[in-house]
Amino acid sequence: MNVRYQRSVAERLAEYAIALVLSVAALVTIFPILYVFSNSISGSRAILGGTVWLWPQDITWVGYQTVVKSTEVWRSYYNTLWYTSVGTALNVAITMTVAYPLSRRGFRGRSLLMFYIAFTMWFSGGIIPTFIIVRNLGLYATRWAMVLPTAAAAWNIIITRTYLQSNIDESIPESAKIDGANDLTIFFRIVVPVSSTIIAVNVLFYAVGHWNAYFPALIYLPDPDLHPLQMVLRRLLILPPEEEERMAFEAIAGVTRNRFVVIMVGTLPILAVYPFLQRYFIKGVMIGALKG
Amino acid sequence: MRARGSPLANRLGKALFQDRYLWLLAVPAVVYYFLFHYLPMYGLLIAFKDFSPFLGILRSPWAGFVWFEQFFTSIHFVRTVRNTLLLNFYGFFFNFTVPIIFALLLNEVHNSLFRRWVQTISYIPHFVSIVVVVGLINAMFNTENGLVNIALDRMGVETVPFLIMPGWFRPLYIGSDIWQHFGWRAIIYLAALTAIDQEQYDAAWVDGANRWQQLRFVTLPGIAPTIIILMILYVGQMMSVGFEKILLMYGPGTYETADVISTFVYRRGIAGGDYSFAAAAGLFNSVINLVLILMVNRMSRQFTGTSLW
Repeated sequence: MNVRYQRSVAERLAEYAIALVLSVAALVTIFPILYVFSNSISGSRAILGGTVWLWPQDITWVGYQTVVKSTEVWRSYYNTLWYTSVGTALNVAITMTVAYPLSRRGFRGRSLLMFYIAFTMWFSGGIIPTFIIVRNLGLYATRWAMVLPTAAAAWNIIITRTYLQSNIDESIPESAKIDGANDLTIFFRIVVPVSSTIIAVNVLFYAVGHWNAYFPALIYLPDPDLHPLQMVLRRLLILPPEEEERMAFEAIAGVTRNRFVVIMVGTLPILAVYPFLQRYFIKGVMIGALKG
Repeated sequence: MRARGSPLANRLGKALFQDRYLWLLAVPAVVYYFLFHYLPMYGLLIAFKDFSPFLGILRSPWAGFVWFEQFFTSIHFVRTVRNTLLLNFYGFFFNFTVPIIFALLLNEVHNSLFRRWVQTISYIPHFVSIVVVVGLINAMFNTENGLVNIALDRMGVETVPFLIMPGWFRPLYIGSDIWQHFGWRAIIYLAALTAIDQEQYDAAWVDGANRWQQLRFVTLPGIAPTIIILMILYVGQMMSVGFEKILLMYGPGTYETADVISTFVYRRGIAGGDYSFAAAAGLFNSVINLVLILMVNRMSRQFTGTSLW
């Protein structure tokens, strides 16, 4: 807010205090990521001696070289790319096609359809019945188990509908209809071309979701060859290391450093694109806040 | 020429025909929700049956309420319900204090460069995967070479096995949740704050309101509707949210404070193969969830006039 009057000493002090608190908050937020990065490129002695706090010591890229050579990491990267691209394409297609009818005020059946979708946000069959149905549909142990059970999210459909409602005037489809266009033509020729913002928002939210997902793989994919990156990260970061990995000094340092390296490998792609795309993420939050 | 059938069916048919392309566009979503959301609801029948994968959902024999009785009388019931409620309660509390305070503080900053920097940094962790977040927790708090224990050791304090102590599970779980999401959750409040009419502040100032009174009578009422909507939405996912993270964080040593209904369902059902029992426990979870949503929505409509439907 603009200050309309002379600031008193007390208020100045308060402002400094606020700046201090916020700086500390920002540092605490970014510190773990910097710490992991520094460790990922530090020498063995420094890692095991616990002397790396903020800056790397005895810089070495050997950890990255090891991880880059791992076929497991590459294969899981490929799998993640597959799940993310196919899954997101499917997500966006389903979300857009249903959000458009939902946004049309003249569409009879609109509230019925909305209830049909929104109800799944309030009540669900839960993990076990979903697992059994996915298996009965023959998706178990196939790549499709990673994308079909999460092919749409009610929340994204709702924000997309809200966006279309407030950005495409009801008179546009009306007049196009008078000109002889049907609803399919209107959707593909008029609605989709002017919806690049909401499409971008959807692509980002869905893509991050697929990129970060591990649970579907845990329950649906027994074959490690199909595992996404997050499952490999889970094995390397969270499950206890295998016996032979924890013997010699170099090996222990290597295992520890590789953990830091894989954290970076799993996070860097998102951190790299994030500055360019953050305005779309924020836009998505804003549209969502308009109306739940 | 008048078609046969009742006027209602007639009108319905005509409406369907007129909107046929709109329905066509909705088909993929309708099919998706049927297959992956409504069929599992039908699959809940197994909670009342003795489900065998070979017989299938329909042909498995009925079992009545035995699985529910078994769940309600087991030692896991009290423990998982307590943990579910407590973790959600703490999560709820910190979700609606830290981001709001952060947004209010940021709103007082006049230097826009500083403001932008702090905000950008604050929501970076939101996009980090939970596997990585739990990996970070382990890297920070493990006993052998975790940063915190190294620091304790240097200070001459005895190291603490944080990751396997039941008493440390909740602080670590909630703390990492705040760390990961506070900046992101503040975005909405910041937007709501900028939307407050400057004239209201001017009027309050003319009336002699000091900074605190402006906060109390202009700022907070200005963002209250946003807070309420977010609260309702939060309650809507309360019973499920976080279980994928708990699954990565907990171990037999921390079940006492970490095991929630959903993780228990996963362990017994997917890992253990007790499908019917786990489905019954899961159904209990879903019903509580539904009751919570209905309650919050009704309360909100009654007291504030803001509601989801």
